[in-house]
Amino acid sequence: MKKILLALMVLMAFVLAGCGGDRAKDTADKSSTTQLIRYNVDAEPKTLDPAKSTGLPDGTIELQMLDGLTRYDANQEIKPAIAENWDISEDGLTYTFKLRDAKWSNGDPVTAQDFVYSWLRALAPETASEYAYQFFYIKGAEDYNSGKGKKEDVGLKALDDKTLQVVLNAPAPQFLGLTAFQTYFPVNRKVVEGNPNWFADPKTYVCDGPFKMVSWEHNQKIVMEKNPDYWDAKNVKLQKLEIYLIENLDTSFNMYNNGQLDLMNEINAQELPALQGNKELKILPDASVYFYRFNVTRKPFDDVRVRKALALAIDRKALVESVMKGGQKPAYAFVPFGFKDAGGKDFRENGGDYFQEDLTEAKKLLAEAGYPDGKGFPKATIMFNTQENHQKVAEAIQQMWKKNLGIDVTIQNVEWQVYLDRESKLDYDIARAGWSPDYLDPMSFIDMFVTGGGNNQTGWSNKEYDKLVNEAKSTGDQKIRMTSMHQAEKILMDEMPVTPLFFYTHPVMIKENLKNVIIPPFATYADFKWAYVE
Amino acid sequence: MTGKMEITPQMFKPVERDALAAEEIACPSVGYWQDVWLRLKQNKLAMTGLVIIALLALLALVGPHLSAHSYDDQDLQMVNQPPGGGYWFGTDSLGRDLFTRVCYGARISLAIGLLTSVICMVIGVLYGGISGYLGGRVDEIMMRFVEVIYSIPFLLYVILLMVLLEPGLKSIFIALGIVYWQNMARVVRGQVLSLKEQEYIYAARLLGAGTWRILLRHLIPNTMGPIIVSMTLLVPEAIFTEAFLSFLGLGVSAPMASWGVLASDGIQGLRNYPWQLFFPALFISITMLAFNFVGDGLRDALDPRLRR
Repeated sequence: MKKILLALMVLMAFVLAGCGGDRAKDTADKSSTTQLIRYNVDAEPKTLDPAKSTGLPDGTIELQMLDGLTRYDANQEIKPAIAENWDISEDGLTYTFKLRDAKWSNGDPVTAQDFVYSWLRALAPETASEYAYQFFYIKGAEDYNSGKGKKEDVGLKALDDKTLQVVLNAPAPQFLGLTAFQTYFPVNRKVVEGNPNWFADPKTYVCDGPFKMVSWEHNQKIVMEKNPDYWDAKNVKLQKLEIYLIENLDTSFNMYNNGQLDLMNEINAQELPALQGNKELKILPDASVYFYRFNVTRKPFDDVRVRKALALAIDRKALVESVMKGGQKPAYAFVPFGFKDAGGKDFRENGGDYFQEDLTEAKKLLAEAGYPDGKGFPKATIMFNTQENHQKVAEAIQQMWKKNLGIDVTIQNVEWQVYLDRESKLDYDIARAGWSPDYLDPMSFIDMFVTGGGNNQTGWSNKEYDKLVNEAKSTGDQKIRMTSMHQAEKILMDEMPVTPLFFYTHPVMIKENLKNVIIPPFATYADFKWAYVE
Repeated sequence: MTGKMEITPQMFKPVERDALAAEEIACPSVGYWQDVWLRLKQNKLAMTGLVIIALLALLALVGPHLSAHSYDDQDLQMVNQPPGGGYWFGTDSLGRDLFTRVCYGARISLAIGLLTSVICMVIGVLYGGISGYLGGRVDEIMMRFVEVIYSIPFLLYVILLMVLLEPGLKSIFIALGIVYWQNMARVVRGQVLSLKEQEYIYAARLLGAGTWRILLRHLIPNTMGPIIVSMTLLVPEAIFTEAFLSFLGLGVSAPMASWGVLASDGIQGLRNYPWQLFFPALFISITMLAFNFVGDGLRDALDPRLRR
């Protein structure tokens, strides 16, 4: 048991080294500007199979290695990627993508057939992709996924090697943005069919994106190199990219201070106050929401009064100001700021707040549900994935519920993979969650909670809600879409299967000599395609 | 030679006898335990250790009542306050009073240390005693079993157990108890093996005493010395293991706090709020030292060969 002492000593050594090491490292770096960026994505990806991955770490890693039909640029505008250009029919239903001459890293050409194959693979019922619903805009896709329809009836066709035709159910302005999203990434048919576990091994991970994987040390790091076969290789200046998979934020911070990391994705909230004024600290916008899921298939969370009582008894302002300390905004609705409504104004500003913290109301609701002053409230647990900030939020909320409602809950941290697994199996009472939109439209938040949706994961179901989502999805008319989505959000907040806590910001530490790293407010953490070291 | 020297009774005079002085014994008669205590008393380090342990126990008992704050009271307006004023040890990242938490942590850490060592003693003494006394094939099998368990890296084993049992105070007792008894069992077995060949055991057997009686009345009391030493040394080890487990997130669950949990929380603020790590670490270190001093002192004191 001398190990802990040793660990402490090593740590002290790190801290001390941190004080003196910086300068030496900096000068060393300048003399030989190697085009290498070291980045920590904070978690081991659950899978790097684009059809099945859901987490932000997974999506971020995939984005460096795979190129979809389109890709977001630095201004979050959709730009051609594998697709050179596209036509949208006048009724907004048929998209025809013209593919450029792009190659896989094994030399095969990227074809329209690859896209058809990949998308159908993600849709196939046996793949059981949680993100399959992202394809439901395409004609016949939902039927195929639910086993009601046939593969051949999905509105996807390779007209020739370089032309892809997609037919939608209804006009969907957000569809183009989706083609830049991970689930829509292509995979190489030959490789996938030859080896179903191709995505687990750097040797068989065939890429069509800016970088290719060289090695993957689990829970440690993934090393990537520039992909010389990438169609846009001339615009990729970075030679090497090291993505660390380290969960511990202190380790990460030490590494950054010691010059072992160039970009830090997440910062321990305890460090933020001391970093104010530091030029390397950037607090970037983030269109994501931090919320708690209630498992409505379990007692007592099947009772909407209990869910509401819990939601109303959380002091969000204190959470944001004293615990998170990163300029986050308290959330009283589900869709964050940063999405355009029909009139061009902000969706959230138009929608406003749907509820308010109210202790007397919360107590009243809890009493009505049969637990006056928390008496007889069953044993419940808040589950979260291991991370210091989540732990603090959970501890703070645990105490708020105890003080305000007299309810005792326990908190439990689990590893990222276990967390994802238990969440999708509805094996929890209350679970911490975060949601970052997959494309820039409120729909990315709203369609999560349709009955049986892959990312619903609360067991909640509401017919009226499903109807509104369907309505919004079946038209290209922004006015109708947005009105339906506002209404749907109101139902969601009335029923409260999830309670929003705050809207994220994205504090990062980035070395000043890194240029052109895109840190988008949604979908992924970072894009290094255009990045370089000065 | 003429005239033999006549020895007559007159020549002798009885010596004045002091009845009291005759009764006086140069060295006071001391029993085994008295002797142990006497020798322990002379060991300054061990005594310091004992005093510290007593103070810690006192702190654990009354400490949480000394401060105006409860161990789980959060004041989000007062996060990360430095020591001083209303908060003697400062506050943590959720505005909880560190002094109260450290005192409360002492309860949990000391409870873990003491209870674990008691559990280990009970299991280890019985197992080792039976194995040593029965000997032969039984001994062979029982000891091989211990060796098998011993060969599994213990941390791996604790972590697996903790995952299985769900984190919590009870599971820590169980996990540590299951892991640490083997050493005790070996010590006791060794002692019993040598003691059982002694004459008084033969005598007891001749008089018809049963196995259990011999084991419980004769053998185990005579192995008490080494048992107590291993127990004292086990207490800090258990506290440390718990601290380590908490450090890995497998310890007691929030808002309860052991010293390990506090240190683990504190390390996040190491750069900006060093007192959050300093106080729990200080108390862990003091406790380890105190128990180790006492353990060492006891070992010397209990060793009959060192008896004057």
